[in-house]
Formats: sequence, structure tokens, C-alpha cells
Amino acid sequence: MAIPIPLLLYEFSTWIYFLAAIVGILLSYFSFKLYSMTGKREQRFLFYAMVFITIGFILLTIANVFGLSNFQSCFPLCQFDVTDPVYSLVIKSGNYIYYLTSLIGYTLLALTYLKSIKIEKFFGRFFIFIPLNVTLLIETANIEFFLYPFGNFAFQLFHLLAIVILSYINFNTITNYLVLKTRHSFPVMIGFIFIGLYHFLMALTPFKPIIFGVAQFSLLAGLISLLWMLIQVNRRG
Amino acid sequence: MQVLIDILKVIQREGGNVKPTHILYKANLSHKLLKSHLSLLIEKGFIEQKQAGDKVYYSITPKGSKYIEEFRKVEKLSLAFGLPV
Repeated sequence: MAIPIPLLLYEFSTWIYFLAAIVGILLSYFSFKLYSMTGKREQRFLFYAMVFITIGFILLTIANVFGLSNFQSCFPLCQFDVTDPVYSLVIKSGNYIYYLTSLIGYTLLALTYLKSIKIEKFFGRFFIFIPLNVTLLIETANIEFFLYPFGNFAFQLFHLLAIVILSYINFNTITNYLVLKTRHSFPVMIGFIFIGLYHFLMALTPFKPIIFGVAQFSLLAGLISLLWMLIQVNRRG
Repeated sequence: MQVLIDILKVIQREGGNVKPTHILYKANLSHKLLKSHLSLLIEKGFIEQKQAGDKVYYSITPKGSKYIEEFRKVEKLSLAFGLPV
């Protein structure tokens, strides 16, 4: 889907994704520490969720930096598969891997709130079968289909799926805040509300590109909230 | 793991030297279990055993105090997400 985003916003979004990667690394580190101390299933899922989400943002940042450093002169015309096949491959792959890892990450985060052990077993098998499924895809489909199985619809599909999963996460973080009313649960609740809003606004971007900028500010607000929570948590006392 | 943390918290809360019977009472454990947990904590260097006459006392080490501090931080993180610790 060709969405002409102004260069300034594209640069701004790259910085936001970079910040998201940093916050993700910090959350992965602290959730790993949490899991290594408790060894509980919920904490393990939280850690894996953060790792997947972080990988997505790192790759998205790399893809954006590649686009900005190599093809800045032709912006906004060369955005999204218009002129250069290398550019197209890097940007699309970066975005697709980000979609995939983010959805896996959000799903794992949602699973931390589910109690059933059966779900863990199911997902355990699901992850085991990922390499097999990928191999079968490569074997049976052409590379274009493998890389972009949903074609131009992937952008909206990703954001809509993210909204659905995040609604469940938001329900749990809001409930948690209403029950605990602690200074740590508040920024988590606000953070995920803003991240949900980011996906909602991103899904609307094809209708008006300026919404892309508003969405980035929403993601920034969500990240600042989560960063604030980490600072609060790491304070003594 | 939670039991070990509870034992560490009891020893730290008491400040100085704590008798095993006191830990037994506060942590609500059997004598056999407490003994194995205390051995594990000594092995990890979180607590140390002291002998005063025929009585045995336990006290927390700086490593044990640091571990509790770290645990309190990650506990807050877990609760921030609404996950049980």
C-alpha cells in the first residue's frame, strides 16, 4: 500500500521506533530478571513477549534507517515498493517481520493473563512447528508470496489484529490498576492504552497520511509511560 | 523460590541474629523443610549461621540484602503488569 508520508514524519517515526527498541530492551532485561527470580509461567511469557516486540522494533528501525540513508533524495515518491527493488525488499521485509514479531509478542503478553496450562502446551507445539511451516512455505510458494502473503492488506490486517489483542491486554491492565491503584500499575495502563491508540490511528493512516504523525505521538506517549514505570520500579524504597 | 524470599525477608526484618524457631514460626514451615531451605540460602551466600554457646542464629549477608532489594524491584514490575509473584 503506497502511503505518501512526509519525509519529516518518516524521520520522526524512525526515532520513535528506535526509542521503542530501547524501552523494549530495558523491559526485556527487567522481565528476564523477574523470570529468573520467580521461574513462573506468567513471567516467562512476559519476558518472551518483550523480546519479540523488541526484535520487531529493532528491525523496523534498521529498515527505516536504510531507507532514509540510501533513498532520501527521492522521498516521498520512492516509498513503498515504487522504484528500487532493493529498497522495496528491505522495507517490506522489515515491516513484515515487525508485524509478525509484534503479533507474537502481543499474543504472548495476552497469554500471561490466561491461567490455563493447556494454552501453554498448545503454544509450545505452535512454536515448535514454526520452522516446519516456514520451510513448507519456502518449498511450496514463490518468494514473493512467502514475503508478502497478505499483499497490500497486511498493513491494516496487522493493526486491526493488534487492536483486538491489545483490547484484551488493556482490559487486564485497567482492571489491575482499578484493583491495586498503585503508582506502578497506572503508567502500564496508560502505556498500553496509548499503544492501542497508536495501532488504531495507524489503521486509519491510508485515509489521511497526517494521522501517521498523530499515531507516532501516541506511541511516544505510551513509551514514555512505560519508561516512567521502569524508573519508578527501580527507585529505592 | 517464594519460600526462600519469605525466609530472607523474616531474617532481614528482625535486623540482627534470628533463631531458627522464630523463622519456623514466621515462615510457617516444617522443621525438615526449613533446614533444607536454610542450607540452600547459606550455600548461595544469602545468610550466615552463627553459633553462640549451644544456640544457633542466622543473619542476612550483604549479598542476601542486595538480592531482596532486587527482588522487591522485580516484584513491583510484576505487580505493575498485574501478574502474581
